[in-house]
Amino acid sequence: MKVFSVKAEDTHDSMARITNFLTAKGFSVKSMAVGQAEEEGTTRITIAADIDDREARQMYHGLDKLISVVSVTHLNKVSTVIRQLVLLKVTCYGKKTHSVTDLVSEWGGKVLSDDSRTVVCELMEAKNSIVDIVSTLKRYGTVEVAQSGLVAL
Amino acid sequence: MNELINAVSQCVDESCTSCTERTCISGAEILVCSLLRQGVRIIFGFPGGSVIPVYDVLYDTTEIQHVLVRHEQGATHAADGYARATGRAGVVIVTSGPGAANTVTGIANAYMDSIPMVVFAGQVASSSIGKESFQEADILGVTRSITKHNFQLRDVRDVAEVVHKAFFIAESGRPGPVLVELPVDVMKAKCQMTANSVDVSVKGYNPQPESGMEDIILAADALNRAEKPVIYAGGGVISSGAWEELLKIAEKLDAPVTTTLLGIGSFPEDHRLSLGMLGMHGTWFANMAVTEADTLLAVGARFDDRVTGLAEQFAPEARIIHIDIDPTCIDRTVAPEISIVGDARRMLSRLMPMLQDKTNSQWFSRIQQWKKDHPVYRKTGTEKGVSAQDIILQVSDMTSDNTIICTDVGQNQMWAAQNYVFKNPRTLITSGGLGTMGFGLPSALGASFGQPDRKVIAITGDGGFQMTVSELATASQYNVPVIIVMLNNGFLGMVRQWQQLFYEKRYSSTEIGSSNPDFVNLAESYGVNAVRVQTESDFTQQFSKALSMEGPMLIEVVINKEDNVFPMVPGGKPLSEMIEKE
Repeated sequence: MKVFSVKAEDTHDSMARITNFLTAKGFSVKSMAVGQAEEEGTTRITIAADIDDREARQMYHGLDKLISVVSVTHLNKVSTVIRQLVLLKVTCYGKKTHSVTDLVSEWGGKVLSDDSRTVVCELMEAKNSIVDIVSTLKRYGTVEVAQSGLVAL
Repeated sequence: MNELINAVSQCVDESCTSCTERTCISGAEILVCSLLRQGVRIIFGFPGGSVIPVYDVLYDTTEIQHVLVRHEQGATHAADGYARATGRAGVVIVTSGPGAANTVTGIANAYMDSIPMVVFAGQVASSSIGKESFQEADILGVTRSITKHNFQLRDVRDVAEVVHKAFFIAESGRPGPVLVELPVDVMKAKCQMTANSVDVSVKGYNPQPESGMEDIILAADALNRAEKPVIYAGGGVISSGAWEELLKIAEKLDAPVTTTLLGIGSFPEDHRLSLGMLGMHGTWFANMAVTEADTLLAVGARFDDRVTGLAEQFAPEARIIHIDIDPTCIDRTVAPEISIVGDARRMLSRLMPMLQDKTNSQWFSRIQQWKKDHPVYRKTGTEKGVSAQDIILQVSDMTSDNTIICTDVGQNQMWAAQNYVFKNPRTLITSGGLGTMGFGLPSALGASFGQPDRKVIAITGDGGFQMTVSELATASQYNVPVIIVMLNNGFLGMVRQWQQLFYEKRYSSTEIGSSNPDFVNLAESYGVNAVRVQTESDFTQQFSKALSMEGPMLIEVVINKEDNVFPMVPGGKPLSEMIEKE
């Protein structure tokens, strides 16, 4: 997985330009996370893509070429911290929420609400193990997932 | 307004805004003043509802000639031809919705071939955008992937700055088209104009990325060691003005030079080191030289699939050095051993002092033998039609070295590229990357407006000619001295050639001769002189007459119906596997 941090002008069409480029070149993007950057008028977009080194060079230069993009950093090449916020809602079969809350604690997560039938919790994921987590929780009820996408610096 | 336009056009200080700061003027007036500041004197366009305010200002602006085309695609191709002939951005103005949508092919064409162009497209009023208003189209979205950048004006105070940014982006670095959308209310709104054309900067845009000297030293070392060098020059040599450096380096290294279709003219084809064009329809000796080269210097070229054939087997013996201003062109299809990012002219200038004076007599002799044994394929005429190759040779012999040849796309284009002897840059104007039929006539009109003192010839076929035939009206209205040599074989010839060679002669939808119009009558109905010729001697006579005419002329040449372009590298094959002749 290659991770890029893109700083772009915070205009109405910056994201469209970036996604348009990624689509046009056929890159397999796994995650995008967008938020305001430290400098007013700029946005930071973290892009994670399942691509090889050659494609990574093409993606880097292609993003850098976009006029709306101020800078691009290939984060795999520098010391990087990667995080992802995962929200999980488990609607349990019967009253099994305690089993779910125990598991969430075991995984280092935090229970945000628990009304004895539905549990909402948050997890901070550095790696993409969400498939295993969901698989485990499905034994206790129906599971809904929302992920922030990878953010990295 | 007249006084203001006069003042702006005559003011020599580009940073001066004193005339325009005095009073509030409309967005349309600011647009036209900014164009004057950019040195624009010719615009190709077609009016419509949303750009009437701009046309109203142009009505009084005698300093800018507006060329009324008959279809917006024609405007973009004309601007493209103008840009290739002059080196400056071609300018287009069209209306919103259908007008803007009709520019898409021409913009994509300019984008693929890195041609500077600024397209001003009208738009419905800001308050109506996104409401499916009359003649509204999301042209920003449509053109996002075929422009270097595009802008939507939302505030009249931004007009001047955006215009100057558009020209800066279009003309700098790897050139390309830029589109500016003009909502009609912004064109009508008023303010003082303060931005000038000097203080332009675009955050995050670096038009001149450059590699360090270490890569150039490595390249020089590889070239100095080479015994079988080949230089492969592309359109970047022309757009950066690097042809003199290319010639000096080729002579210093005693290295033969092959060009891409867009690189034609960057190296004189009558020079002893010229190999002509390489690739799918390249010369036999260019393709073999690349195949056997031990060192390949690629300059301002992007290893296009029509050039490389099977990319994995392109220049299999060579150490490849790639110079290009666009880092995304490097290591995209062919991985070079040494890559140098930067402007071709600057990089070649830095490379030159490190190169040794070389002589590669064995390599040169081998290539000379190839040239003797495998000359450019030519078929002679028959009683049913003349040979297109012979017609191009005649055009080449009868015209001066600075004549501009504009081609359409297909067989006519390849015959022109193979047989006309190009000696100067910006003398071949052709649609390379996109391969746009219909490009020939309008691009020739644009080239002629850009270089009014030079002879311009459009070489086209009966298929492509009909795609933009309405521009005969433009040629007639402005009495543009373009000679149109139309090679009529009654087929969409290049597709037919593929069907003949690879689809068992199943000519599916490529025969057009039975329903072609009478081209002579058609041209004459537009007020364009026209003649049909069926022998080479008739062509010589009529072409000679056309060369001395002041207005446009069409010469329809009835050529052999099923002549093919050879050599030909079949799709997916390496360059060495050419079909050499019939």
